[in-house]
Amino acid sequence: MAAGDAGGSDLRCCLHRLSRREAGPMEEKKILLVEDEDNIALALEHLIARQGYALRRIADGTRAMEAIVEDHPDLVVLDVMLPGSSGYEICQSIRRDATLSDIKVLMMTARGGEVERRKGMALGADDFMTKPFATSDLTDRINDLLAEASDA
Amino acid sequence: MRERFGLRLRFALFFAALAIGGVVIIAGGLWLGHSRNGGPVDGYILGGLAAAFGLMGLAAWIGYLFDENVARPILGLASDLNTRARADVGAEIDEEQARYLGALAPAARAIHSALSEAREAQERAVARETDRLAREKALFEALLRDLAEGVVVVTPDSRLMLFNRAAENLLGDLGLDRPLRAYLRLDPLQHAIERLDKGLARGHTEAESFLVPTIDGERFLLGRVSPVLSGEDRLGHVLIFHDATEDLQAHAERDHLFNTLMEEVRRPAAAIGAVLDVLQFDAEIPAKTRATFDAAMNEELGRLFNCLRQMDERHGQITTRHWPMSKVAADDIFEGLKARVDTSLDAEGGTHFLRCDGFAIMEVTARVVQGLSQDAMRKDIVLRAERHGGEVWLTLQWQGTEVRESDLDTWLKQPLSESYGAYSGRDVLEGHRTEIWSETGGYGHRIVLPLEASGVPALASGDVRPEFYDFNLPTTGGEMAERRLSELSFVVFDTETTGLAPSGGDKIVQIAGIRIVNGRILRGEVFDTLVNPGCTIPAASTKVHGISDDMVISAPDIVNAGKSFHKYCDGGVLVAHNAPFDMAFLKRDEAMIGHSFDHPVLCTVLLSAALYEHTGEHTLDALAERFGVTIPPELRHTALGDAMATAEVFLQMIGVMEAAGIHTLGDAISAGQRMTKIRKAQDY
Repeated sequence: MAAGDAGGSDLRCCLHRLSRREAGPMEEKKILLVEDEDNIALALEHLIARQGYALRRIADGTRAMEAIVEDHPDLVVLDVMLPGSSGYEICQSIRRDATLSDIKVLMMTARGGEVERRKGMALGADDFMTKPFATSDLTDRINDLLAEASDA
Repeated sequence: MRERFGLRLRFALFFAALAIGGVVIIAGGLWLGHSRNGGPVDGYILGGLAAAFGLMGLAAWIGYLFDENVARPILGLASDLNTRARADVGAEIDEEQARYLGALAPAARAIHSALSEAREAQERAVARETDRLAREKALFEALLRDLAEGVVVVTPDSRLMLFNRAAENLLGDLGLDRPLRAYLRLDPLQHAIERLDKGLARGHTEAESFLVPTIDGERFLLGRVSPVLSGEDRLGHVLIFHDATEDLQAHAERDHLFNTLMEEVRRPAAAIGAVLDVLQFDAEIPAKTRATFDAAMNEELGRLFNCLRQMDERHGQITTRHWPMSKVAADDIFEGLKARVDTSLDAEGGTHFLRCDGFAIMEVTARVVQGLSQDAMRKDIVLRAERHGGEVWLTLQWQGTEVRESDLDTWLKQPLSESYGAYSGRDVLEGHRTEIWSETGGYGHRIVLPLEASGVPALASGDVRPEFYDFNLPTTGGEMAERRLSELSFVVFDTETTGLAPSGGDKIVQIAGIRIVNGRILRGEVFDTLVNPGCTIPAASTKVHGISDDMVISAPDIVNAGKSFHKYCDGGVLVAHNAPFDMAFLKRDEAMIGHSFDHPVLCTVLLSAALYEHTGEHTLDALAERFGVTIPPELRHTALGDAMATAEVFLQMIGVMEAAGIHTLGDAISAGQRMTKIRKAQDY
């Protein structure tokens, strides 16, 4: 998993950032943030945008799927507890749609249990984070996942 | 005997009197005839003699017939009736013997049949009652033995009248008639009984609760005590226990966790609040100072996150949950599930054991199976239990339509079962701290439910104590020496040793004891241990008792074995065959053991000598033979076998002693001492 090749990822991530800057805004990576809590969404939007990614935020589970199909983002940052469909449900829906298979999914929850993480991973999430987390940790993981995506 | 001769003698005397009277009358008649008429005397005498002999012969003959046909049959009938009055004789009364007694024989016969019928009716009634009692007893015993809560019934002075298996698990090796204080600190109980008494005085009859530590202080028990009343008399108390240790621990841990959490969140929250205030209201801060404040903020945030993470881990480590869990075989869940749903299921891996609420998990899986089978496209559903490290995964695998997370969520939101009230499948999962999800792979689709694995449960031991209650324990009190033998508790014991000389350094290699309480041998409460003598056992001794050096290597030494034996003997009278020999070994090592064996001691050799002075043989074999006690040959010369035989012999001896005027412990001890003196005098 991610922790095992952390060093390598860091390196890749730096290279990636360099290449992104050189490539210009045309290849800007798209991230969809599905989060119902406005304050954390506010901070995350700001942070992610500063990393140079295009970001769109959806506040409830019901409209998330439409947005994903419509935008086809590179990464979905997905909260588990959402009004409407749960994060698990959305993750499962992404994974059962073959056209969306290249989308990375990063799940996060405030319910911090090992079994939740396992369920998220079993349903096809690429990474799982428990709230609260340091924002730098989140941006690192986002960079890692997007680097993996472009490698693939 | 006197009566028999009495009747027959009386008949004989009657006929003798008749004969003598007749002879006298004949003699008188002849004398009168001769004095009136005269004539030769010879004729009169000859006639008189003939008449007298004839009369006597007639009297004797009729007397004989009377004896044969009247006196003897009367006696015979009387004895028959007597026997039937005293004992249950099935054979009918022989009417032939009493054929000249008129209606007497048929009357006796009628009495016999009436008596037999009455007896049979009585026997049937007794058998019916006995049957009913036996059924009730079996029910009561089964109920108590397997009750999950510990039940103990004690006498008013807190000796054990009854205990069940669960109580033994909680309190240790219980024994009838033993004081409760040996297993529990009594103060909380006494306090509860005081409250109970006050309540009773006010007319409340509710049980009182109390919390009590076990004697070793390792566990906390939550107990309830209620009185056993018979009219005004207090017969004792019923105590019901359950182990509150884990509950209390979990509560304490949760409380502690919560307090720590509050404290550790408050500090960084206060700091962050203060720093934020500064940053907001003081816009003019120089960049350098601002950096310090930023660093402080980051540090406090790090502390807060760290605290949350740690608390989460520690919370997960509190193993006790509020949901009741037990060891359940996956098979049991599968079987229940198959009976509960219409869908046909295959099951695999049922031998794994889980720690869960079996019923709740079965209901959860049933909801899922019912949900799965709503879609006719789903086929070949297979139930599986797979071991994954410390977990057992229950999985449901199928072919066909996959399951959406939202479907699973809907199925689990429904109330689980009427018996669980509003609890839903989701609550069960939370209670088990687990999740359920569906996966898709080369095998098709499957739903996974991970649960905590558990070892195979220890089978409930079959060796339930055969005697676990005695409601007629004698009341204690007064000098022990004054108490009747039948009321005392005895520990009948035997030792095997390396040799015959306690003073010459021989050691004990085995101690076994068995208790007699209230005239009953408690075969379930046996003490039996090998003892490591700390030296080699001579081959000659091994030949006698069969205990070799290898067998005692891992056995406790005399210090530990002696300590536990001393505890076993608490409150009892020690009995042994040739007790001075065994006592010499125990007494010698008292200092090492740290307890003195100052119990009253009885010796079956000396008691036998006191009871049967005329016979010279007082060996255990001789006593066993006298009292009809059989010692299985393979047990003879094992400490337990000999102790058991001695106990049986001693129990019978108590009866013989009673008959010989030895009633109390004091009587028995002095009888033994008298024998010791006589034997010493005889230089035996």
